[in-house]
Amino acid sequence: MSKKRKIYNPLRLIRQLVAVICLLLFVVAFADWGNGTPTIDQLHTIASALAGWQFVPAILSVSGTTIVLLLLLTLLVGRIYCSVLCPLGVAQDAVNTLRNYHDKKAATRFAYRKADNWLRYLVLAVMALGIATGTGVVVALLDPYSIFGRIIYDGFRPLVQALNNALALTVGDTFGRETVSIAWLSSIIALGTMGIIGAIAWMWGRRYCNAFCPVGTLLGEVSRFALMKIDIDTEKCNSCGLCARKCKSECIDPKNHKVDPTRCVVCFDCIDVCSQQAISFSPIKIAKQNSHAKVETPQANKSVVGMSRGKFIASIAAATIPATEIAMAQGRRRGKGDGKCNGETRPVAPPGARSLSNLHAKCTACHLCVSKCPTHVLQPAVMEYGLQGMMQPVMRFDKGYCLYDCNLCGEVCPTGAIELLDREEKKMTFIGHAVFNKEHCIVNTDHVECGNCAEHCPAEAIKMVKSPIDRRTYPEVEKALCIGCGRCEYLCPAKPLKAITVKGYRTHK
Amino acid sequence: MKQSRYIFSEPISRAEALRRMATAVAVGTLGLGACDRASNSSPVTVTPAEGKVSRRRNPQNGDEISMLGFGCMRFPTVGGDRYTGDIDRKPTREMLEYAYECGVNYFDTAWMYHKGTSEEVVGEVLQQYPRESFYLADKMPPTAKTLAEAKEIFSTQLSRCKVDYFDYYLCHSISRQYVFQNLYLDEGVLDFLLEQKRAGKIRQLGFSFHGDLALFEWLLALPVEWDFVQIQMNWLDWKDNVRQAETLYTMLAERKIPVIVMEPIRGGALIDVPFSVREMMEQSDAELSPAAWALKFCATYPYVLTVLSGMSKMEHVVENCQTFTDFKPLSDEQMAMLHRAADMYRTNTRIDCTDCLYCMPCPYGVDIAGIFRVYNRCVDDGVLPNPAAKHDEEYLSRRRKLLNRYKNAVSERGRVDRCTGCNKCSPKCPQGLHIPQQLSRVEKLIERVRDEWR
Repeated sequence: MSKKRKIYNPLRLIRQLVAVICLLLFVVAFADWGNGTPTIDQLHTIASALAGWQFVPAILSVSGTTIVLLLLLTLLVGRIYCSVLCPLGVAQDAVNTLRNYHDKKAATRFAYRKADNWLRYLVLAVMALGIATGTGVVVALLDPYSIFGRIIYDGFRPLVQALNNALALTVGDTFGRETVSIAWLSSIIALGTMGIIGAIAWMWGRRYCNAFCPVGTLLGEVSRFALMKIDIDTEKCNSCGLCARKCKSECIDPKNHKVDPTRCVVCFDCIDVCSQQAISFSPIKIAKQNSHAKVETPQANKSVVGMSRGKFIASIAAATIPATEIAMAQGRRRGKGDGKCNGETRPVAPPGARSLSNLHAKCTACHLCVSKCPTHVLQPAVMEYGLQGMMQPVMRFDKGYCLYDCNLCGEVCPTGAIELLDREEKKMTFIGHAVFNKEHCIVNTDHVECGNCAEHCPAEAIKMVKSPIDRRTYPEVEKALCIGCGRCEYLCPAKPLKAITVKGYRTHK
Repeated sequence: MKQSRYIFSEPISRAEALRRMATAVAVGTLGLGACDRASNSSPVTVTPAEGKVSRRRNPQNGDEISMLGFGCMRFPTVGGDRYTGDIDRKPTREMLEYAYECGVNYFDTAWMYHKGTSEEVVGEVLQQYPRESFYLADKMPPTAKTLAEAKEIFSTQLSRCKVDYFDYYLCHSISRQYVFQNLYLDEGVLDFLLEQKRAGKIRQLGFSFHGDLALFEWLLALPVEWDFVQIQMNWLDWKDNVRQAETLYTMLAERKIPVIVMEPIRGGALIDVPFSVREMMEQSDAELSPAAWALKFCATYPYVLTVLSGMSKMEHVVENCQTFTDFKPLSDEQMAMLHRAADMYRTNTRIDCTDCLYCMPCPYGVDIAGIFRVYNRCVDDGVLPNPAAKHDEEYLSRRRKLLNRYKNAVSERGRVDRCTGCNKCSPKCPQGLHIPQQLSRVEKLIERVRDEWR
């Protein structure tokens, strides 16, 4: 520990600052607390915009500009995305920092190890397959952004709500009581993944990102060709190996003075730790000039992979674009030809989803829409959609109803699974229709007057009509007008079964 | 017939009938020019020079009085609040002068206003104008106890105002019969004032009124010829059970006594109207401000000589002068709208729930009393949000307050939208509330507030 260590690396500081800001923004967005306060609303807006910059959502929403910019960023400086933009990555760093703070020796617990290539390529392939076939649950379980979203929403939001309710009880009306909603399946999965990934981060730093995460693998491959890299100056290096012991990505090979660019997340920790100041973040040209000094250069890497940068980009494009195309085509194909209702209550997908298959193909179940939904009608599905749509948002009319003039879910969805509808357009989007069942209606069972469904129908699709049989007035649903918002179902006083229920369309009209 | 659309308790009220008749008469005599002093007709609207405030001719003496009168009770103040502070003379002078230039010629001051300095300031400003070009009103304070004191006050008032006579003089704020009996009858102040009238120090004698109907009848039955009467009148008090402006006005109109209106905006309360009322106003005429609606309402009644407005800012003066420049009365529909608005205003304030819980339990679990409690608390604290004015600074904090209170006090299963309107509750209500109707009113507000957040 020489005096030179005292010079703090601005790169690392900047990285940490930006990362913490991004992380906090996502935490605020997913915890969804303090809505209606202008400042927090603004934070939510920024976080929603930031969600659009997540890699998997960008691919799923076929947002070309975003993908290209993210790839260009990676081509320029390597996997900085994983260190700054990815909330799960930053959260792992946080766990690691926590352990290091707890146990000073742990900071140098790492050692160089070879990449677990078979595993990471396998996961990447599974992910690609999942996206290509539109199997939502696979994508949901593998996308780091969505994993993080669920950890906060499903794992911690009930706690946030409980805390909020405690404050509402004690402090008073600065806080409003919320109904604590726990989606058990999603919560167990979220807390489970949190436990696993947290434990991995506690033990082995960024092992999850480098051995499992498909986004890490993909960006790692792109990083091979990055213009700026971590470079070890062999002339200055005294081979103390401290950088390798400090490297949470376990990617510095101190013997060969080599940094594996596919696993390096450009955290700049090594630069900071090197007492000889032998490590720098520099353009590869300098590295090339030093190539005669027998340093592993990108040239060498290139020969390992065996293709040029241009070819590589082309191959990535070739891999991703058709995959999305196939997914979309499947969405279209599945969307066709079944809007008929066979009498069973189908799950109702939120307006903007266009069709169940579109939702399944694009949704990563990050639960940003669920956390934003003002009436909490959007809930993580258990098995309503079947296995492939597990945890994806479904309309639960026992929890709430869809506000007529609201399009928030579409506004925040980063993947295009719920498209942003114009508010007027949303009012004309038919996601299902109400079905009246006279047997359960209290007008029939209790012989009272009621018209709560008709009174509250925003589309005026329900009329109260006098029955010629018993001279009482019953609701009558005009199917052509009903948009399926579920307000009637939510408000129907009949117990235990509602007299009016909404059946969803597979393809929205 | 238009009046069939009115929602009055009777299809067409006495006052309404009178007003129509009087309007017809006024229109008929408009072209005849000069009006006979002894004429029994109502004040006639006179068209003034272009750009000036419209005037009404007092049938008693031919005075052409501006329909906007300057109330001198709410001048801007410095060093303290409205009661403890001193008049901020410079802006006050500017306001008075501006009003005069616009054609306002009726100035209403009193002994009690601004601790007596109102008279002084008004006198000082009006001094610069020819005496016959303005009408000055002053009042004998109800705090005077003896005739000697009253005489002292009267002469002080003349010197303070720097005038030789008052055009209009009032017995101030009559609200208790015994006060009037003691001071004006037993002490003989009324005789003194009548004497001053004969001596030309008072041109017209009247009183300003804040009491109940019996007292009003008693005052009018006195063997005194009141030249005019000043009453509190505005669209909210028109059918108010306490103020009974309609009844008072009708009684005066029946006796052909000119009416001077005070509190036409009810101390500013009719500017900050509930959203539903503001919406109605905007629908009817988007260009009229709530203040203009309130002033025009009063001035539309033909026996009203002038409408006093206690203006405390230059903006008030400018706006009110504008309202009365080239004055056109409100149409029948607009008047009816204001009467409806008054009903709505009343219903938009507190719900008369005493929290007795007789209505509970609701068969559908609606927490009736809890909902009313939240609503009334917001009304009482003056923080009920107004969705029609959602760009107001306070709207967001009010919105949060209402919604949080609602969330905290009423459980999800007991929320207002669970009401099926079965109306089993209403017969149990000792206050006679139609509970489903009231609930639906609260529901509409809460829903608008909740949903219109951007």
